[in-house]
Amino acid sequence: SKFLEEDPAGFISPEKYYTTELQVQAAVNGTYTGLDDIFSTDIGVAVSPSFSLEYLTGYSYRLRPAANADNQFLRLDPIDPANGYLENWWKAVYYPMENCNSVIDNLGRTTFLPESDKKKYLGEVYFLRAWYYFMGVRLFGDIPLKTTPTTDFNNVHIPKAKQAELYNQIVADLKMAEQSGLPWTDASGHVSLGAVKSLLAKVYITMAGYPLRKGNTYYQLAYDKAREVISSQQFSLFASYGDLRKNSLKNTGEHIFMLQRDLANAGNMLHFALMPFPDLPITIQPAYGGALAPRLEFYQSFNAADHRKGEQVFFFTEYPGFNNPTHIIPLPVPLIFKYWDEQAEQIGKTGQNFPYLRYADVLLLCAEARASLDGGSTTNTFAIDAWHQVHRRAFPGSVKPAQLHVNDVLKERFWELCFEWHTWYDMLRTRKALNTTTGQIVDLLGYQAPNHVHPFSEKDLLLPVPLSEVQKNPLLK
Amino acid sequence: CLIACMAIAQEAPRLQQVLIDLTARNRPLDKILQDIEAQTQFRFVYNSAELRAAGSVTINRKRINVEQALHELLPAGLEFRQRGYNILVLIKEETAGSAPNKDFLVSGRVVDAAGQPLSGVTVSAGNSRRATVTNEQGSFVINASKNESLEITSVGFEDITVAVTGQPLQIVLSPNRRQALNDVIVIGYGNLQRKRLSTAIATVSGTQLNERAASMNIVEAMAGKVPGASIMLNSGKPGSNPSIKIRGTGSINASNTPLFVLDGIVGLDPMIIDPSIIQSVDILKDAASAAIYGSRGSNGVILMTSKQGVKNKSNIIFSNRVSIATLAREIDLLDAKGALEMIERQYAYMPGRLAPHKDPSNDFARKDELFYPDGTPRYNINWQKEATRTALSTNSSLTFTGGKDNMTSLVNLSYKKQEGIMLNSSLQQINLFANLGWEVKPWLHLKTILNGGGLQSRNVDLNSLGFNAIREMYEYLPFIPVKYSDGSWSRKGDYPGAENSENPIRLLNEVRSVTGQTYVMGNITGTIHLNKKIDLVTIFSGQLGGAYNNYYSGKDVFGFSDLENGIAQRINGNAGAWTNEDYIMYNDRIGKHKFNALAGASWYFNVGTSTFAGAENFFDDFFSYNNLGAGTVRQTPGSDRQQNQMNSFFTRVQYDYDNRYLAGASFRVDGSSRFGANNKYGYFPALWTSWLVSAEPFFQRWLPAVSYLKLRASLGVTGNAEIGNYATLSRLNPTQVIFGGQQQPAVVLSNPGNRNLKWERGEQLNIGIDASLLNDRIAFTAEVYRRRTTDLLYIKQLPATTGYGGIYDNIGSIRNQGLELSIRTRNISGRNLTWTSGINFFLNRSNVLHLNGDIIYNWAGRIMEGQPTDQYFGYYRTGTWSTAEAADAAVFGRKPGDVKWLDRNKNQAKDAGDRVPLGSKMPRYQIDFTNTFSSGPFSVFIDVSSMLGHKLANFSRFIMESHTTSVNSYSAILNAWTSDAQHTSLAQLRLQSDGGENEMDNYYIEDGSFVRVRNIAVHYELQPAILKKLKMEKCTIGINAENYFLFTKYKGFDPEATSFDGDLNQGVDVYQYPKPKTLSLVLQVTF
Repeated sequence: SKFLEEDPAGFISPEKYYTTELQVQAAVNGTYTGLDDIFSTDIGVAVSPSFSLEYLTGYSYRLRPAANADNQFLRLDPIDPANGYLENWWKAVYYPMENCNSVIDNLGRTTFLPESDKKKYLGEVYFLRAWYYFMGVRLFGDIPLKTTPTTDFNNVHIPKAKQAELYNQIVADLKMAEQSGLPWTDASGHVSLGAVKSLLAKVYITMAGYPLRKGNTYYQLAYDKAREVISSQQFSLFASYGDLRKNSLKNTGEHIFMLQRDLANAGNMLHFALMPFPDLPITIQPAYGGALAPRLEFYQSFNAADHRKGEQVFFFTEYPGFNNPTHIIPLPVPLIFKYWDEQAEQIGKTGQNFPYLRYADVLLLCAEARASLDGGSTTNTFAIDAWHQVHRRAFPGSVKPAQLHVNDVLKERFWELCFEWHTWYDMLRTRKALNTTTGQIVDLLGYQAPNHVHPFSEKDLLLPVPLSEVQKNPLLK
Repeated sequence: CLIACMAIAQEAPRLQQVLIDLTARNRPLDKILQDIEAQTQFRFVYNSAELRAAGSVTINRKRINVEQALHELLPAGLEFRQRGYNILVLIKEETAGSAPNKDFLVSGRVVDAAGQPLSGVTVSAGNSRRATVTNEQGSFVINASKNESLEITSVGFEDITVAVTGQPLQIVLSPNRRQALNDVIVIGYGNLQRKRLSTAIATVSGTQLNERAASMNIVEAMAGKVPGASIMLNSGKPGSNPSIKIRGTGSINASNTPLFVLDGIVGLDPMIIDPSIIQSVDILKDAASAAIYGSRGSNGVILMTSKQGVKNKSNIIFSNRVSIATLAREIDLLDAKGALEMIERQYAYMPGRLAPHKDPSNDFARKDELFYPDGTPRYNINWQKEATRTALSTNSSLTFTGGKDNMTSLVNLSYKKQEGIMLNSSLQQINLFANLGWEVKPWLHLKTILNGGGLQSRNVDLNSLGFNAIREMYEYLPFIPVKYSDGSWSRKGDYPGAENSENPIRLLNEVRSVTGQTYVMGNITGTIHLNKKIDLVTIFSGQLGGAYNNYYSGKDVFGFSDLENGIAQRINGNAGAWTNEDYIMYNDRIGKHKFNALAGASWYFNVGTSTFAGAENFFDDFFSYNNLGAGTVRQTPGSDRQQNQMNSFFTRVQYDYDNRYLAGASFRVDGSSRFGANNKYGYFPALWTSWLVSAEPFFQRWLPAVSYLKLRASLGVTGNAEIGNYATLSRLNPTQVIFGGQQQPAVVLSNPGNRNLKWERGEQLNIGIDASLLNDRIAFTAEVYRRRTTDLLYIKQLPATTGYGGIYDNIGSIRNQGLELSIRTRNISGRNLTWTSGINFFLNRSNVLHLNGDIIYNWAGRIMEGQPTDQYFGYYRTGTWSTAEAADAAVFGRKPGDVKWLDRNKNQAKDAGDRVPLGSKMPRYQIDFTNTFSSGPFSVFIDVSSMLGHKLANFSRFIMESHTTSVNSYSAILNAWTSDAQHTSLAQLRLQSDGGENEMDNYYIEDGSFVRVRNIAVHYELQPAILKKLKMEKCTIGINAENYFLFTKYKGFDPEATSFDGDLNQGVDVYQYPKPKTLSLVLQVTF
């Protein structure tokens, strides 16, 4: 009867949506919300699934006591499928992916928007779907592939797809995004053509390496795509490392794609989580740190002359007391300075963006792809120049070499991109590690990283599918 | 009990409605009246001498009504009057004497069945306000007129009314034996005498609700009085919401709270009902009785009936309670010396490392203020004493009752103010209640109630997982003072390395959270007597309410609002609801066959809105939450609107043969807006039957010791719709994303809809037995039930690949089965002393039969198929690794002195496969034992309650009694591992940075079994002589001690506790608000 009908006022039913461009914009904006899913926190202090990715490398540790779930990543123990972080990472792939599927499906059927506008909106969403799947396939390997919205909630058991199939979808989505008419850069932080091409380069070089090992064809594709980004001259390295942390320079210069944060409504937890533990009074709110610190071995693997090792560049070993600048407080161990926010130090809140793709990454990808393509070392000046731009900032006045070995590029990546959530992915696709004792690139398998209790073996390279998901979908066994 | 009797009187059928068969030849009149009694519920009151004078009668009539029969039977000199179920047979005025209406002295004597005189019996003269009491010899003299009757009332005896004859009266009172059986109970859309009941309904009388003076709300007052209802007083906080579950936990994602109904107003918040307006509470426990409430009845229904005025008697009743509450028990925490020993041992984990107060090189700021030069502490603070107080509460109520001819009325005004034992926590409530019963026309009766008021409480237990005042009371270090000599507040972090959190006393003073509501509700019930057999009832009810939640935390409160420079927030809600119910009732009787039937329909509409606003950065604390505009930073505002509707149709038939065989059935069709478009309506049938074995002619010969025996069985289906609104609709939720530092609108998928969603289904079989033995000295009721909840309103877990975590679906089933036993005994009923006892015992066992294979992990527990719903689950600590086991420990990556857990799956790693069930969240057995002793004006009441076999997850202890704690701890932590004492479950003490795991495991899941002397009350009734002087009718003075004795091994404040909802997380104790013991003075005066 009419009396019992429901007509909610606080939310919109999807059936009544997609009638105006502003609605479309809001739906597209919604597909970005998944980008910060891994930075979720729970009631534990300085606990977040996102740190697992850095714990796995073995180059970092946790100052605060760790619970079992963190310990498995920190120690490289076999990861229990019941480990709760697995669920966080898994959901960070599929929940946002469903938003993307829904927008792609619904927007595809609307007719009121001009085709070119529609394509642009879809371009953003295709990029993000590729982003989420790329994260999932690298961490978990074969996982279900789903590109349409869920309509049937009874037949929900989707089988795993092969990694090659997933990568094909990722490439296809990124190609759609590439053709969608997006601008090269976007100062507000939306997906830009630069971001699309950079990610595509990253996908290609990953496909060239492990586990697909598609080799030179894909190194070539990666090189070409990275070169396109570089040649566009839309991006440039910041002169000073300090600029990387400057909120005023967000989404510009070196920053190609970022997780957008805001002081009032979407804070960044990293400034606080990376503070010293036990507390030191170097900031207004020193109580919640201790999540992540570099292992001393890794810190010491930097060349003494490397600017990145310098005080308050990537790391710090002492800091003035809060409101007491003349009192310098030594830290018991070197800590990460990459996310230090001077504003947060004063007011206890930070709205600093988190870099997801930066130009240094693309430059190094370009060099690595070329060196790999050329059989391990290259004399290609474009590639050497790309690498040297990054290297020169750390070692001003260093001379550009005539030949570049792929291991030089990898080393540069370990140092340049450390603690930016890239290292584990690099280790997976190259199956190489930085031996912190010798400073040399070594095979990943058999190498024991400073914080691990076991050397890496094949079984450590993929995260198990979360137990709870296997229980809900036996096809994931 | 006068009020109760009159309440019943209103419900009694009229004499002309009741048909009887009479066959007698030359039979004495009093025997014929006994025949009529045998066929009806009526009881005659007469003077035997007068009837004897009337001689014998012959009559032979079929299907004659009682009125007609009496006209034919009674000789000219006698007349009769109906008083409820009583029929008074009196000498007619005109024949009684020459001076009608003229007062004269009537004398008499009151004795019991054994002929012993009864003193202190109240004798009141009919309609007048004259009353007296009998003396030691049982004699009385009272002024009365010939047309009056005398009402004789005394505690423990049946009330009777006798006609004034002019001769001295010899009055025999019989013990009040089966009063409970004659009580009328409310069954939803009608009433029934208890003896005619076939379903499982428990009743708590208004008197019982008042037995424990410290009870502040209706649910609290019911605790321990209803077998089958688990009422857990989970907090000592004023106004805290006790959890109530009837016959176990049947639901996982829908509510487990019963439906509350007051005089036909359905779906109330019981917290706002003032117990002093309640006449009685009837609890529909089995599905057959609750099925008349259909889709909302599956957790039982609690029917509250308000008090009513009495005809021709005006009273003023004043009652006042003053209570003093203090901390009932302290937790055994470390003192200053102990805390420092713990810290020193933590530092000594690394040999040579010195604790800051012992380290000469560590010159922290407050060192000299906290420690003597030798490192001993200057202060030793007991924070449990500092943060609590002796709390004073008052509870006053003023009631006016009265009635005339065709109207009765009652007005009640009450005010209570309760201080909590934590500083600054409090609750106050003011409530006005009025009702009116009006016989407008012989064919129309109106009843209306109006209840309104407001309540407000100040809370100190905000944010139970954060650093709130209560948590800091537990955790604050004892060697730090409240304030330093310079007047500044201390902070825990003043001692280096300690967790830096705010001072509890400061939090209690400077964080202000005030919640409250205003409410008004009312209803009007019209009953139209269409004819002798058919009544038409229509009810309109309405509720309006506003709720608010105001919060301010000051500019300098560390960890709360110092970074924001003050935070002020306001949440306001408004809600309104109306209900219309209309039904028709039919009553008939053919010989020994009695029928009644009911059919009706109802409509319900509810709407609510809420608004949130907040601001930060205040230049002064002055404005608190009263001027948000004074803050320069605005928080994101919010608002919401929700609405839901119901539409139902219901019917019920009952049949009764000769008061021996009873049977009935009901059926309700319930439509709710909350269900999916394809399943709006649900169907809820019920059946019941009973057999009054003791009424069989053979029975009394066969088992004379059993005076009453009834067997009954019922089967019914109820539903559950408590899933919130709009659960069946797909949603796009608005949110924001940031672009370029600006918020931009966004929508995300949030909830997949399910258009097929329907109500949860609860089937229940109940078998009961009621019996009275040994001349009614022992009365007992036993029930067994099996309750099966199917089609659970369950958030079916979905693989994440769908994009969602879950979808509401009707999946799974849970079984609850149990046994309830209630025994009432009269142990002593002598002249000088009576002693009665009551025992309620019950147990419930739950089992999840089917849950789609899902496993749900909740606080320290899990829910899975084949297991109870209330199971703790986790790692099992077997002790600590000893030095001798160093090699074995290393396999697990541990060292001697670390915790050792059971490696259940023997894979030499600590993983999820090592977890085991760790006990039950709900009590296995619950027993309440009450005793009442009366001797003359004194009576003593003792209530002992016990819950056995339940466990609590003591999260407070888990956090504090950990080897790496950086806060104060339990004294037991000093038993931690040392190389000299390795046989312990506590790991070697150390700093957090030294590492080492801890778990919420069996070590912190503690047995909560307890025996509590919940209440001791002593009452004294003022003697008649004094009453007369004070012009009072009755006056009771009492003293009441609540929660004075508790016997338990539980290490927290109280083993009846939860920090979250009691549905699935009973016993999860995260810094519970401590429970008080309360001493109350009670005064009740009737004028």
